[in-house]
Amino acid sequence: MADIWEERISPTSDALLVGEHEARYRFARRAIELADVWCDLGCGTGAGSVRALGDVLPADVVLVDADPEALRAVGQTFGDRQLDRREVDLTSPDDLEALAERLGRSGGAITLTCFEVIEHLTDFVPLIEWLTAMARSGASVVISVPNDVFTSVKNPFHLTMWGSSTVEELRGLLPADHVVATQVALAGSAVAPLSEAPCRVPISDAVELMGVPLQYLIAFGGHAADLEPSAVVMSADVVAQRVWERQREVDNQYYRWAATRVQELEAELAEVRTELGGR
Amino acid sequence: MTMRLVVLVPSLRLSGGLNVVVEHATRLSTRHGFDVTLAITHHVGEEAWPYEGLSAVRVVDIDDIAGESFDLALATWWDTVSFLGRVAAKHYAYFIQSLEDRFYDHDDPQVALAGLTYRLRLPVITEARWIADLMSQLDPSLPCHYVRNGINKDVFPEQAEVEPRRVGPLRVLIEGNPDDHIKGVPEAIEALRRMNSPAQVTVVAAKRSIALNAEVIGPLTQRELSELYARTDVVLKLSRVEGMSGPPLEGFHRGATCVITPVTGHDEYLQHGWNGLLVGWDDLDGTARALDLLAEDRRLLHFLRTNAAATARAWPSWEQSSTMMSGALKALCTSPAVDLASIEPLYREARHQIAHASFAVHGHKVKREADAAHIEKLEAALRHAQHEASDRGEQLLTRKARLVDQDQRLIDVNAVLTGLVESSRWLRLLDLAERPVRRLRPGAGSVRGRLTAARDLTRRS
Repeated sequence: MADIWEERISPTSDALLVGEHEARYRFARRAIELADVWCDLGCGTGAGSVRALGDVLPADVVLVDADPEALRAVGQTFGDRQLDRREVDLTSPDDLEALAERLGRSGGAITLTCFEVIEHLTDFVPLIEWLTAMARSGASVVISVPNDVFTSVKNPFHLTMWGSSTVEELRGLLPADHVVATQVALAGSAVAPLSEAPCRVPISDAVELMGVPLQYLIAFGGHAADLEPSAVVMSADVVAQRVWERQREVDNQYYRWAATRVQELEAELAEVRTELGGR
Repeated sequence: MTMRLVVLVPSLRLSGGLNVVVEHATRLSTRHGFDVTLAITHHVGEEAWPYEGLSAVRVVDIDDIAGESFDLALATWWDTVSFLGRVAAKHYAYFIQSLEDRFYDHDDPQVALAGLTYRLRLPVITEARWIADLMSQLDPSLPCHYVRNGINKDVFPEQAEVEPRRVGPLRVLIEGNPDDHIKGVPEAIEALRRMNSPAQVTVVAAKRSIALNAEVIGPLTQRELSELYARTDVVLKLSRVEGMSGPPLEGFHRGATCVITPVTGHDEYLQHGWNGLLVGWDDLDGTARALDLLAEDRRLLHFLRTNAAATARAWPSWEQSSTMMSGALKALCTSPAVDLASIEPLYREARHQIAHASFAVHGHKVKREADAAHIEKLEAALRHAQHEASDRGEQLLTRKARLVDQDQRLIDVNAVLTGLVESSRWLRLLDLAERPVRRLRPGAGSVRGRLTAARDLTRRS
């Protein structure tokens, strides 16, 4: 199952998925803008972060991942930007201590983001302890965890399962002044003149947010209280969605027909058996 | 640095609460580098139930750790709190799995003693959100960590899909000791009896103390229980008191749904109409109808079972749960330590006062019971005497009636005889013969006159 699962997004991934990642980084944007050092734990390919933060990155950017391939890809995503890319085991207190030493080297304000990472760790407690200690030292920290309870999908890469109760458990380990935000799905529609060229449209800014969280974001330390709601709106690929929905509809019809046919065949088989048994 | 943790447990008998402790303890030891000791406080010297993984931790009696020091001492069952003072530790905390004062009758002194342990301001770790909310409301400054119980996913493997059960009687499993009034087992069996549709009922109990009209099995190992859940459609749980009832959730992992009362902790996993059904307190007919609905509407049954399995997939494993527990324990060790030295004397004094008061209450209770027994004896004796008197009176009345009857018969005979004498020829002759005498002595009377007087006297009497 893992081989068909796209756990690490790239710039070519589904646009709405990239937009979801972008929205998380936009939520942390203010804290990153005010920082001297931004460190992204589990940076991946940078597909979401580069869209959200390209114009506000501080001078010192430290990108951390466990996968060397992702670190190579993120270099390409950010182009010629000077980056400190590091392979770090986030479950290792020694690795985390070395990272803290690296981040503190500049002596400036630090912002740490850690999105879609915690659920991948065999033991997230050392990382949480480290992030809490960093926040106590003045760093701004923004983390996310998914809402697996809602989807109930068994992601082969998630070593722990998350939802509102798990978030409540996690909150007990965080500084008391932390802030919790939820990321929800949006749906909408736009009207624009017919044109060959891409068209930019204004989006209404008074959206009443409600619904089931897809992700929980938690901020603490430094500028946690300054973070503001964010949203990313992208064109929906209704063609792909139509293909998928039509395929599902056809599949369902086909399997319903097959189920009926199985019953007919079973009845025929029973008749044949009766006939054979009677001879 | 290895953290030395001692967990106080009353025993290592078979129980859900102790299973939770052992699951955490073994994983804290094997996965998180804790040096874990389980110290038995009450039933020392007993053979432990063969919990899986128990060999990974050190098990001792409470007296065996005198002179040792720990980073954290964790009380579990309410009465283990009183043993914290005998443990040398830098930090003390209380793992609350239920509000255990509810386990006893209201006039039992253990209600006060158990309730007292929640007021000691010991830092808390609890498995249920309702307990965490309650403790936080009682004292917002109290360190309180919420760590849900995990599920052993090796023993209770998750179901990617649930096979529909289209035919056959509804297979219902009831878990709990039938004579434990808070488990509602007799009520569950009564609800099943009131069903219209056929059902196959299995009761799983560690003890078989009362006769039930159902198959009762147990005690079972966790693996045996898991196999049983796999052959179950519905876990029926009508408990009145729970911290976070595990059996429905274990059933979810094996593809069973549940019918449950709104017992504390049910909201950790139950969504009515999504993965199970919620039924009202003491509503045995309503419960029977809910079960009938599942027996008859197999699409609904499959819908609930499918979503129950999905709920199970998102529930934390013991590995995840113990990770969270390790975080909570470490966080407690970085929090300001509770001053047990100042609490302990007050706690002991309070226990003493409660014990003292409970002795007096017990004395009054015993006296009241003795008085009641004495009064009952007197009343019985009185009833007996009244009964005897009544019998005797009846006998006397009967005898008197018989005598009266005899007298009457004698009177009647006498009257007949007197009548015969009065009308006899001899009396007439005697009457004629007396006339000369009556003329000479008028006051002498006559034989006839005396006979008449005697007859009248007899009639009057």
